[in-house]
Amino acid sequence: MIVKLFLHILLLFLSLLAHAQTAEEYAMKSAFMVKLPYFINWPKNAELNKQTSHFNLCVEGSSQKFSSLEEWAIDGKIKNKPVKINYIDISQISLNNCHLLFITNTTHLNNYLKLSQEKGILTISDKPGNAAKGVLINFTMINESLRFEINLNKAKSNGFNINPRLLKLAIIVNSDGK
Amino acid sequence: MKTWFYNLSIKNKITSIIVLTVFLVLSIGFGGGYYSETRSIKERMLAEKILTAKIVSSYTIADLAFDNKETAHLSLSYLKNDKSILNAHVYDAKQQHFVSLYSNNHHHNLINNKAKTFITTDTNTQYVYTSLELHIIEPIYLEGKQIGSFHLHASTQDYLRNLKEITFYLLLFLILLLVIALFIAGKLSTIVTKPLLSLSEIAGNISKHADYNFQIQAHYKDETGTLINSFNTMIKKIAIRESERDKAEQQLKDNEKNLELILNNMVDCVLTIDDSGKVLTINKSAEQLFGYQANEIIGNNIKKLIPDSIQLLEKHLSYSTHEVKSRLIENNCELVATRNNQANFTMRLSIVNLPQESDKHKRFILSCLDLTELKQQEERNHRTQKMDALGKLTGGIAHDFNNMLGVVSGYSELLSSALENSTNDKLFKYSQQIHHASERGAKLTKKLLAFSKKQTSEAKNININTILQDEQHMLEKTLTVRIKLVLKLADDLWPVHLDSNDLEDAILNMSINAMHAIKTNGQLTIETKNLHHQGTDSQILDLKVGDYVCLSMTDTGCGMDDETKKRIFDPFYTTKGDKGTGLGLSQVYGFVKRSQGSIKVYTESGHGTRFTLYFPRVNEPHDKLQQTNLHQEMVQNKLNGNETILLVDDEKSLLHMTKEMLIQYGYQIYTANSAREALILLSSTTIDLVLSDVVMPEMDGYQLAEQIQELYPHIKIQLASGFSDDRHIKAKDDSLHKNLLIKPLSVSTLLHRLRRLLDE
Repeated sequence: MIVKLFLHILLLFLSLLAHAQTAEEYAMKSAFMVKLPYFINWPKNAELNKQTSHFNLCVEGSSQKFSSLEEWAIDGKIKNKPVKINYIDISQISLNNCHLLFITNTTHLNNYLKLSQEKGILTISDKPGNAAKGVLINFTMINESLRFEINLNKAKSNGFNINPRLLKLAIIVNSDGK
Repeated sequence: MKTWFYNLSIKNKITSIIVLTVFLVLSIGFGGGYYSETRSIKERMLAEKILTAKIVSSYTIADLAFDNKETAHLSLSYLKNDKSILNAHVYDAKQQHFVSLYSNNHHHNLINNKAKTFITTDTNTQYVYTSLELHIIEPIYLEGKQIGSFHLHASTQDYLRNLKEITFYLLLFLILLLVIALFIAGKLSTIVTKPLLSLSEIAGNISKHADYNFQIQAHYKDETGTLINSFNTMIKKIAIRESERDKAEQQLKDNEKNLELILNNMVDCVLTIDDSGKVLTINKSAEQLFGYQANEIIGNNIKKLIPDSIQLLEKHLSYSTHEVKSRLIENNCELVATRNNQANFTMRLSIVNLPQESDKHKRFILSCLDLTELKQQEERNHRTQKMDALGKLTGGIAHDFNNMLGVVSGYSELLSSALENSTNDKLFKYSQQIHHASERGAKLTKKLLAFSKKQTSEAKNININTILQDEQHMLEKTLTVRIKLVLKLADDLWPVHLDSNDLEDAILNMSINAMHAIKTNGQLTIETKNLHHQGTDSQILDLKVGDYVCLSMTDTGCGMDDETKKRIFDPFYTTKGDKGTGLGLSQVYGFVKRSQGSIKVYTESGHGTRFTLYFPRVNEPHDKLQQTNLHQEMVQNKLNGNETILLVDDEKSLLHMTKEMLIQYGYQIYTANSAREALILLSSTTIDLVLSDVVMPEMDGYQLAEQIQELYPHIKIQLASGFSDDRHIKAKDDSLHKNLLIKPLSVSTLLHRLRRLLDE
């Protein structure tokens, strides 16, 4: 019983700890996410370069993980535009009004990638291997530090121009995973 | 400092001014340049470092944004190429240290940096300089939002080194320029000062050698040229002025010399004194008079020389009037003055008050004349006048008395002659007594006449030594054995023209006086010598310049006092009481004067007396002393005659007596009472001989003889006189004077002379 209680407590602690880690991690990712556009130029035909009043940051999946992002978005600006966070799901596969797409779910990854390529949307994910799969930027933890991979070829082919200072920080991957 | 600068030479002044100016200009220029350059270097360095900071910070934007310290390190490692970078740090937005280069002490740096006052640029870059360092803080922005900051800490050593180099070269250049400026200034100032120095040197030479005819060539038309021209004009004017001044000075010197010459050759003694009596100047005559050298008396008080002059001056000094003209304040005032040897003498003093110069003492000219000789002369004149007066008086009386004696003597002789053969011896004796008395009277008269110089002179050229030698025996007898006679006779004694009888009388008179003066035993020295008188003692001796024979008789008797000495030549003055006649020295005096000589007496009471007689030298040889023996003539020659003789005399009794005498010897006699009467008689009567008196009123014997010789050359003339005078000098026939008969006439002398003349 005591062991069970201990286990429960341990589980609870671990759960809390995990939750805390997850929240911090997403806060970091949120921070990275809003800084990345600074070093990246969108394709000329991208939606972002059209008449648009906001920088639309679309998050595929739950909004809970990005509470810090929302806080930041209240007075934050990206590309000199107020930030609007859109939480999307598969029903909104059209990805209209998205300039940056954070993909958490890899189920419809290809769709997203396809649409993103078409619409000039910067794709970001945090699942290992996604960069090789075609996501332009993929967060990864190295030595407990948040880093990111950039599929440079894909980015170039999609018309994105990435600042070398950013490239200096990134792990460059190609679609073949190298 | 100011005085020091003013005392510098013009060359140094110019050099100093130029160098100072160059120094100031260069200093300002170089200072500006230095400031500008340092500022420029500083700004350049700052700009460079800010740029570096900006670049590096931009590199770290992504690193900071994505929290990648590795890449951030990599970014900072670029700074390693810049050696001046001391360290660099990147801080995040929360000013938390992110990464550093070279130093881990980031926290310290951050705090230090905060303590400093940073300057913010337009691009929000902040920087600050410390002594050796530069701190830059570059904010790191991302999307307009500061995500951190980049701190750069650089050394300014290079900048300072550059600054030092620049300073060194600037100073070197400044010194070089100053040296060049000094050299150029020296050269330039030489251009300016060379003509001035040349002018100065020439001016110095001109002033040294006083050659004002020198002219300097002006080479340029600048200020020095003008100065040289002005200088030339000036020395021309100086030359003219010098010449005029030299002339004036020469004239002044000549005048001064002339005045000095006049002053020193004045017979009068001249002194100048001030109102305190101090002697200012003295001329040569005054030096001689007072017996002082000028330097011995100048500055002394006048009362040392003329004690009484001070009293005279004092009454004039009391006037405080300012004299503008010379004024005679004392004229010919007789005072007693003192010589250097303390001997007093009488002098005549005149004082003139000189015009008073402003702010100066009164001055007086004292003109003095020594009255010593004048007084002596006056005394001599007084004596001479007295003697002359006495002589005239005595002579007048003696002349008349002599005539009367002549009558007495003549008639007594006639009477004796008449009674000689008579029996009445008594009457003959009476007549003889009368004749003796008349002869004695004649002798006395002769002495009187001798003094009055009216005695008939029978002067001849003689040698005094001869007379003395002849008289020596007689004198020795007279002086007796108690008195030794010493003769000191000069060889080759010059001849003199004088009456030897008078000389014998004079010697005898003086010898007798000497004998009386010598109470016991003694000596009488008679000395003769030749004397060339040069006029030095002419005033004292009363002689003209010329050759004289000097006869001195010196006794060792009792001498005389001054009172006696003054009166010895006075007739009838005697110290022998009844024993003396008082005519002895009067005869000597009259004889000497008649012989154109002089007599000097020197006596000291108790020691003796010396009479010195001076007789003028004659050049004719000595006449042979013709000793005529009248008695022989009388024996040999007949004295009778029958010729016609005219007697001329203003004394009737004498005329009558002579007529009686001559008639007895057979002569035919006519008489005339005056020369005029004689001439009338001669015109109507044949006359063989005229016997005339000399001294007569209207026309004297010589004048009568002259007319007779002219009108009747055949008539013989014989003159007779009781005394001699100057009448014969005018006479043409000197034989008349030489053959002059002396009254009273003795019968035999007269007859012999007449007979000889008639027989010629």
